[in-house]
Amino acid sequence: MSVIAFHGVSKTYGRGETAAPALRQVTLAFAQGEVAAFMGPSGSGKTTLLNLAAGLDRPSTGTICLLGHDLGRLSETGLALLRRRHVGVVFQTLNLVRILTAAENIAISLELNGASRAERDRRVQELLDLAGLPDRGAAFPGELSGGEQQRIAVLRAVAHRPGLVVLDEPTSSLDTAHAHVLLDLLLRLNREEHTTMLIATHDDRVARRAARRIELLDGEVTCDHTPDRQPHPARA
Amino acid sequence: MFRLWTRLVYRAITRRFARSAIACCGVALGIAALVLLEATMEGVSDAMVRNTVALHHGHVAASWTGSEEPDLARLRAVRGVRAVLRRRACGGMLVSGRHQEGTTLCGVEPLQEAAETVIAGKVVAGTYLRKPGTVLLGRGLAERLGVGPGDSLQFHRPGHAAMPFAVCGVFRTGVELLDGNGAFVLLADCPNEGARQEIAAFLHPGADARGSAQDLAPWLPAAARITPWQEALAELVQLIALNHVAMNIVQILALVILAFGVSNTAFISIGERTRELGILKAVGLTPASIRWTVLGEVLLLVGLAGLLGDLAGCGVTALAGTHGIDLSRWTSENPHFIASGRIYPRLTLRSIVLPVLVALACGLMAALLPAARASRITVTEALRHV
Repeated sequence: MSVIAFHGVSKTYGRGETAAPALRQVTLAFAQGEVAAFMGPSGSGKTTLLNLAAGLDRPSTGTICLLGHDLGRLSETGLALLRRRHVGVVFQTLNLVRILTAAENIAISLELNGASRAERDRRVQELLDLAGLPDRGAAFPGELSGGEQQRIAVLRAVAHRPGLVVLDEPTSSLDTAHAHVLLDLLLRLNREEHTTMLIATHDDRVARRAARRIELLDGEVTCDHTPDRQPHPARA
Repeated sequence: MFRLWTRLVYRAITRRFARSAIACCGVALGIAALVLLEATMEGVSDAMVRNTVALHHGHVAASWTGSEEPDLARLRAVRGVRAVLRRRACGGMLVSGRHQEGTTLCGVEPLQEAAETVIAGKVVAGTYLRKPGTVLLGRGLAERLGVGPGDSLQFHRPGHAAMPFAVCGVFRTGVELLDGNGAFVLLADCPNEGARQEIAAFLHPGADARGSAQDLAPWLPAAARITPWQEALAELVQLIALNHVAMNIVQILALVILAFGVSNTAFISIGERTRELGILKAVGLTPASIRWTVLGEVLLLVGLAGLLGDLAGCGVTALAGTHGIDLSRWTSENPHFIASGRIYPRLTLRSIVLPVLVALACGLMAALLPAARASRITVTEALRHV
């Protein structure tokens, strides 16, 4: 069973003459533990697709099923509750809540899901150790480097063991060394937690390490490539 | 969830300390000013009552016909009562040479009277009542009779022998009724037969005149007509009500300005944190949680400011209440400030609690719109903000 599935999904911004199609008839499915990289030039629809997957936006047509829930049928509150339990999100930059410490940022999703204080503390420290930031829990985002902030954002996204993590250009603001550290962390978490990860990226280093690479152009899937298989346009 | 919510609210205030402190100080100043205004309004009302009842009436007056004597010691023991003056009023005609004026002679105990009323301090010619057989006249009455200190006159009543008096002094209060008709003699010099017996009770500050009137009633003759100042001085009651209305208008305007300030602060705060609110939504905070986060922030800020403003307002009011505020320059010709133009701001439960409660309500109202806006922001929209 797929964790998330897109069936004929289109997304158009604006109306009438100003209508701008961002996605056209996308049909895709992703299994548990799969890591997929979305490649394509700016405006190809990568971010739109991730926003739809995370329930941050709604499709114009088509259906998106996340763990059996039709996202189009859920209210704003319903979507928020689904994200809270089953989705982790990492944006390009400025991912953290500035008024909370690194540890508190990681603990948000745990706290929202009702974890006890002891559980939270244990999980947060475990993740900080895993990310090589054992002593940075008390730091506020302004006191962390860009690379550290991105790692904390990833930890927050996986802390509550969601079924799906979406990452929008997670390495675009990082230098090569930090990008490698972040990728190592992502793949390690993927191995250990079996989390499905959808990553939008321009970065070939990221795409090469993903098990599945999907290319988009003008809102359409042009190539769905798994390195050990032959590429094909769309796979459901 | 509640812990996260309180942490978000608390940190939103403490991590942006300068902005929060400025907003807090603004609201606190407004509330302190409201507390002082409310207390000053009470002080002005108190001063008007204190001055007006000290002219003659007292806080509670009682009168009856006949010779029945009340137990003054019992009356003075009633809760809230500071002093009880014994008086007697007798109608007749004052005659001096060719002049004659109908008047009511008022018999008083001069020492007690001088301690509670202003007449002794308003003597403009001669002396206050001291000796038997003397009369103290209001200036208007003295002028109409053509007499001054040392002159003689007679008091006539139908069917009774004329009573001679020497004018000991003339007083002027500025109150036409008193200056034009006032004639005071010693209680013993005032005829008892056919006279109206009176008492005037003066109360401690803050005591309720209507309640004291009820408490005094059992110790007065059954036929006594008891009048608290609110019934006898309708003009003063209206003036105090007018004072309250004017002050309430000022307070409402101040609160509206305060609400705009709070709303503006909340909008600025949301503008600064749009991206952050978007991230919180992305991780699973519901629109309702976002709304309550903004409302909580405003309520905490206004509550804190309310506490500080209340403390500051109470402190300044206590200081002003101890020393008083001298308004003599603006009240010297006002009959409602005849004895003193000094006012003593007085704190009441209303003056302490109301500004904070109303500020909280205004803050809540002012934050509703920004909170609704924050809850409606979509994550994708919020993430465009840097």
